[in-house]
Amino acid sequence: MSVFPLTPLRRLLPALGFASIALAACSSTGNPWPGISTDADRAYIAFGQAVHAVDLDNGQEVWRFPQEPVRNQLFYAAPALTESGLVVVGSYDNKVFALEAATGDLAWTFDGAQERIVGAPVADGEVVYVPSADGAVFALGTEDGEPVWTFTADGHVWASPLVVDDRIFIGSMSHMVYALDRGTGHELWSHDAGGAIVDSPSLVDGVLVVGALGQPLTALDPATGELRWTAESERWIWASAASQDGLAYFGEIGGRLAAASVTDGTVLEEQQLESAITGRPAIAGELLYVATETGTVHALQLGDLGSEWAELVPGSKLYGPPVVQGDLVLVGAVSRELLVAALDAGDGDVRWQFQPTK
Amino acid sequence: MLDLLIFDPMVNGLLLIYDFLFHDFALAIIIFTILIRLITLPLTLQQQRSTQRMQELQGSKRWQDMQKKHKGDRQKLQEEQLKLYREVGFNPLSGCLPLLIQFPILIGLYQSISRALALAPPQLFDLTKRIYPFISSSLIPIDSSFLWWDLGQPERVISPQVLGFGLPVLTILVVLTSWVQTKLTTPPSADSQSRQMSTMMSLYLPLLIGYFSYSYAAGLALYFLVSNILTVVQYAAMGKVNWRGLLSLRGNA
Repeated sequence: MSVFPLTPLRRLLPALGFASIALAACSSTGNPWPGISTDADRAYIAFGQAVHAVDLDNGQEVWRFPQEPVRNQLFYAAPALTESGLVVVGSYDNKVFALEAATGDLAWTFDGAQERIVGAPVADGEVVYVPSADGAVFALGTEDGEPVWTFTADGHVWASPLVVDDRIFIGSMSHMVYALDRGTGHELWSHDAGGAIVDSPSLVDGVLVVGALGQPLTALDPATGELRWTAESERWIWASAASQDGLAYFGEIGGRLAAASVTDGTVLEEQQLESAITGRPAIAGELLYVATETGTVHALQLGDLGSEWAELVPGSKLYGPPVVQGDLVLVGAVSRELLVAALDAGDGDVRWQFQPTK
Repeated sequence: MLDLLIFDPMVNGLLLIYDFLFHDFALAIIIFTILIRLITLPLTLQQQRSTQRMQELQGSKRWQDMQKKHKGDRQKLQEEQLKLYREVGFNPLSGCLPLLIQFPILIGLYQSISRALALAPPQLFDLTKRIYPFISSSLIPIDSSFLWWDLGQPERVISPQVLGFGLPVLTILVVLTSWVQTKLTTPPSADSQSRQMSTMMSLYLPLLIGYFSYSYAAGLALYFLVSNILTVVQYAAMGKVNWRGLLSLRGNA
């Protein structure tokens, strides 16, 4: 066709360019959010190509790891903090790094996973438990990163393990909840929750509470895995529940926040918030903290869910759980302007914001 | 708007097929691709008719004479060509419209596979907001295993520990079938510009598609593979396969 006086190459290139952009766009359905852990002095923030240690007093970066970005090495899971002063973090290039909390220096590396580390590791004594998307849960010695035992679940594991006494509870994307012996990793029981489990189970007044996609909030007997009760919910629960004084508080992707009795799962109070709740609520003092997708942090009264304050973090989407440390509430943001906002737990005023320098 | 009209229905359609086909995602991709190709068949046929009509015009004596007569005057040549189109009642853009309509559908097909796989938390969250109420939530996550492949990961057959690198067998198949498909389905042309363009298409397009197959989840590479094979089968069924083109390393003349 010579209607348009273009050479073949010039005609082809825009088409190829457009095709490239259109096809590449298929990986841009959402942005990952930061994972945050804290000790008394610092926040440890895993996001993108670095882990940042940030001073809780002023939001200034103390160190970052690695100093220079490494291709395909991405961090999104909240780091685990060990008693021996290590920050253990998993990456999307299937590795686990243990860093000195004081300096950010590398102590050891574990590269035995076959797939990315999506869930947050959990440290307990001299062992750190690391979930992997390849279905394995690794118990690694904190001293040198050597495996103590490995358990393989049926399906990906994105959720962080829950360690209680001599047991470890794990939720898998293949809908299963597992109870393992803490010392050996042997399976004690398993339960089909009927939906993918993205967040770790929580122990609520003697019952194991599990949030599974498309299922009601489910409570199991931690000793046997038998069903205790289910709490009425809408279609999608992303995270598990927080509890205090006989109530389990959980949020839903539809924006519903509910308080259910831990005795029988009856929903006693509920509140419709403005958008999706994907992070597990956090409890500190008499308040329940909840973050919503459209960027608002809510502080609500325990029990009746009455609003204490609500603070919008402008231009941000909030998917992770609020982290309460001292008198601060930290939220990780998906935003161009900031990575973490620290709010005053009492009145919601913004104390500081953290955005890493390039 | 694209989400509402194209991507969401396609993601849900794919999940529904996956549910019916014993939770076999590879089979679901194959059937889904066939269905979409059947739905867009009238558009494909219209585009082919238009291309054929254009080829006939370009091969006509009047066209050739026009090329010679106005060789140095591109403006005049275009005027004469447009005049010819009007006389024979041919709209040169009639082949573009079906292509324009098909393009978002093909992108949607590609995206629906990617979105259904939901390989990371943000993608999974996105998927939960798109699933229609009548789709069972227990389908999630998609079981992406098929033969020795994980359709959710870029495919490499041989362990990097053995050869030092993983062999991307599926990508190689996609590149080969893309090349064969372009060669077989590009009609012979008397026009030198068209020949040049088809030569470049047969080189660059397989490489571009190969790059996507290599970099993204194997489920997408499987879609490319099935799509290439279907295109050849479709052309063969209509007797439009250009077997001589396969043997030609230059543009199809």
